[in-house]
Amino acid sequence: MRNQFAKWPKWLVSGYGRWGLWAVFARCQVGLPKCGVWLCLAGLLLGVWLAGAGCAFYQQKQLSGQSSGGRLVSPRVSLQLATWGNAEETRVLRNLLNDFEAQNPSIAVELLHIPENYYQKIHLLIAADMTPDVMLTNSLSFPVYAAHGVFADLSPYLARLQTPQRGNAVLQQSVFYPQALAAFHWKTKSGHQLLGALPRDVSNLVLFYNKDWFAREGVPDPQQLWRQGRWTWTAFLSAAQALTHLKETPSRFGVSFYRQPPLFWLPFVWSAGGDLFNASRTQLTLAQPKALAGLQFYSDLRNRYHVAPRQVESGSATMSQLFVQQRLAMLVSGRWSVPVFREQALFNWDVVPLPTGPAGVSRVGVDASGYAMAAKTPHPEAAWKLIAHLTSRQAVAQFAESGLIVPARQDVAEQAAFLDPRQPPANSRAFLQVITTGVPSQTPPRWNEVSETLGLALEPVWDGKQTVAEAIGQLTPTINALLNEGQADE
Amino acid sequence: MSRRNNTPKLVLSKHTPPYQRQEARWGWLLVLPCLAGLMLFTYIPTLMSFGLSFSYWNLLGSPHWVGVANYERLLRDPNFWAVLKTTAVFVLSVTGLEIVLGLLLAALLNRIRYGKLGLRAVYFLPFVTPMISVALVWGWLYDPQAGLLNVLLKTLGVLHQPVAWLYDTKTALASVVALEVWKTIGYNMVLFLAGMQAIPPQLYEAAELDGSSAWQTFWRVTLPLLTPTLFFVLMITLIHAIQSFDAVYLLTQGGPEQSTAVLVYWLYKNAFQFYRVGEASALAYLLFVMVLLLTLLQWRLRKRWVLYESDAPG
Repeated sequence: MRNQFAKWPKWLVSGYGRWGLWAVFARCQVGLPKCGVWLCLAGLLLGVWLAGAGCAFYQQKQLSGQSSGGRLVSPRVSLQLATWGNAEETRVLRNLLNDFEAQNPSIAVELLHIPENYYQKIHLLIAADMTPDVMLTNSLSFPVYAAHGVFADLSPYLARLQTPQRGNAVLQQSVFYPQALAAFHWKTKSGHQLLGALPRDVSNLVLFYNKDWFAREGVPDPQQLWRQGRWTWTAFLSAAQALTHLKETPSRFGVSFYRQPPLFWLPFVWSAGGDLFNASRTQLTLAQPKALAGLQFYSDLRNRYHVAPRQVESGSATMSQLFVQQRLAMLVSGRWSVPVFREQALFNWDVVPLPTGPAGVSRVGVDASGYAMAAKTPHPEAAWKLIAHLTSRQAVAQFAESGLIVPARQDVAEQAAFLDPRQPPANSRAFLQVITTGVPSQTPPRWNEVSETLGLALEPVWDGKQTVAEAIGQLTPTINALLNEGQADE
Repeated sequence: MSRRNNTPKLVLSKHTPPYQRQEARWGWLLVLPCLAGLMLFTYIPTLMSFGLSFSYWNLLGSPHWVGVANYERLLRDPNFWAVLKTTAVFVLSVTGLEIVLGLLLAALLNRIRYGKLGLRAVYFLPFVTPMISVALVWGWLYDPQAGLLNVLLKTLGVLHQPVAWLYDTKTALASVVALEVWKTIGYNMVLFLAGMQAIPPQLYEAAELDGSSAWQTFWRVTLPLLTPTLFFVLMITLIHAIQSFDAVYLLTQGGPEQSTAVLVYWLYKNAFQFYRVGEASALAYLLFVMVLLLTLLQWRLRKRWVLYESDAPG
């Protein structure tokens, strides 16, 4: 009797599963159900049994070290890791996780891959108190969660590792670009400085350009101009004008244009000497003359000089698609475009920093993505081990080799894994140059809404229906109210 | 009305005989799973959402009571009124077109002798096609440069400059309306067709003998007898149009310049992009009140224009 279920799968006969099975057997002993009520009851029992069996199955999956005798040894620590990313990125990550599990047999990592609407899902997981133990986060969306105490402070863990340990585990603050680390620092209400995540990569913007097209039209190469210190807004505009051919079908344009998000027009504000917010992020400062001039220049690219496509001209094609189709000579974009262009672009292309503006600088935003630990995780030590593994030199190098990211570790950035001279872009160093002059992302907690409101207010400007000054004038009180509300949230 | 109601009662009184009590007990047991699901996933959240509409909550902290501030803020927000106006235009045009064109299609289809079944299937097909695939294809059709629509209009010589359809504030809403109408019209048509086929043929024979023209027959015989169907279709179409979300979400994200931001899309944005759960709940309840009033109004007016056979004299 004891071994009656010996040959059955364990999840079927353990716990609730066994009771459900017994109930069904017992019912069968009495005879077939005589009426609908009994059928329903049987159905209900079957439901309970299936649910129980499901739980047992899940439980069993969580446990390991099961010997042939059916004896269970101590359960492994199970961590959940949330990430976005395409197939290539996920493949790299899975390899890294396999290595990690091999090195740490007592830790199992469950990968929660959320390719779309990442923060919607994360937000709801946090609300449901199901925060993943470790999650990939970017610096733009970081503040709202840091303000609510979602992330653990990683600085004590990092401090412990300041003394070099074995091989790749060397992890010190100094290996990261300070701008990338700065993006994950958060000042709590008590004034404590918290490190909310360890950066994996840096996101910034450079100018991709079609080398062949430039050579064909005899337009001076931007890289040369950059080296001579002559790659300015004026040079950029005249290049764009020389490369634009409106009369052709389909028309071809000098440079890309994005209406949203602010990321794409902010470099023009910064390079003109303006800024988005004041230092404490409580006031919108776009109404200042320098910032306005930057916005105006960006709008003029499309509406005055017409070197960038209007909506009716680009249609549903993305700017990257237009670049690949050789309908755009220059494209403002980030490292994420590199694998696509390596595969699809049938021409020579390279990258160069954005031109220097009236302020004499070329500044773009420096955002970072990195791994954060949930403040509420029951296994902080294991979670830290995982974070250290995923931001190790070796791991970041593997991500960099995919071409998708600019490593946040300086020791990897200077390696062939990133600078690889055999593959375009030849001037990969441009991505590193713009980090040093970049503006670390400093978004306010209500960034989603602020960014959307900014975008909506500027739409008529980008469409040439309103002047920059008008739009910003109307916008300032609304944004200031949002900023103050965000501060009150904390 | 003299017929006794024999359906088993779920709600008992002191005078309920024991056999009915037993039946009621089983009745409750049988509806329990369904009721539990409804409670858990519909009624309880709906009630909680009412509570949340008086609070401030971004899903991360705990909600705190703000009284009617959410409603106040909404009613003061010019965006809300703009969205409401867009929604009104959208709902009225979608409902109007879907009913008139649905009726027209049904009337035409009712007259033809061959291929009725095939055509009915063809018109019904869009209704059962998932919106995501429909929106993807229509997005391409509407493309200003390579889209079939512009290419066709250009070839026919109607257009000289490409129209930006989804990217122009003047045409975006109309483009979404067209898609919505195209997608739902088959459903309305099938309902109308069923209603038309239920009209007794002798009425048409009589009309013909009396020398009624086709138009007169439609206006005096078909339409009055179709009013119960018409009423049902009107209600369904109206509510469906007010709830519309997916086409806007997939095609325009409310743009350009908010010109296609309908109420439910705006609600979604508030709740799941800005995490203003309180305000989104308030918006949902305002929407609920509007739909309720509209339905009550129609229910009231129904007696004036809907002809039920049981009400018909003789």
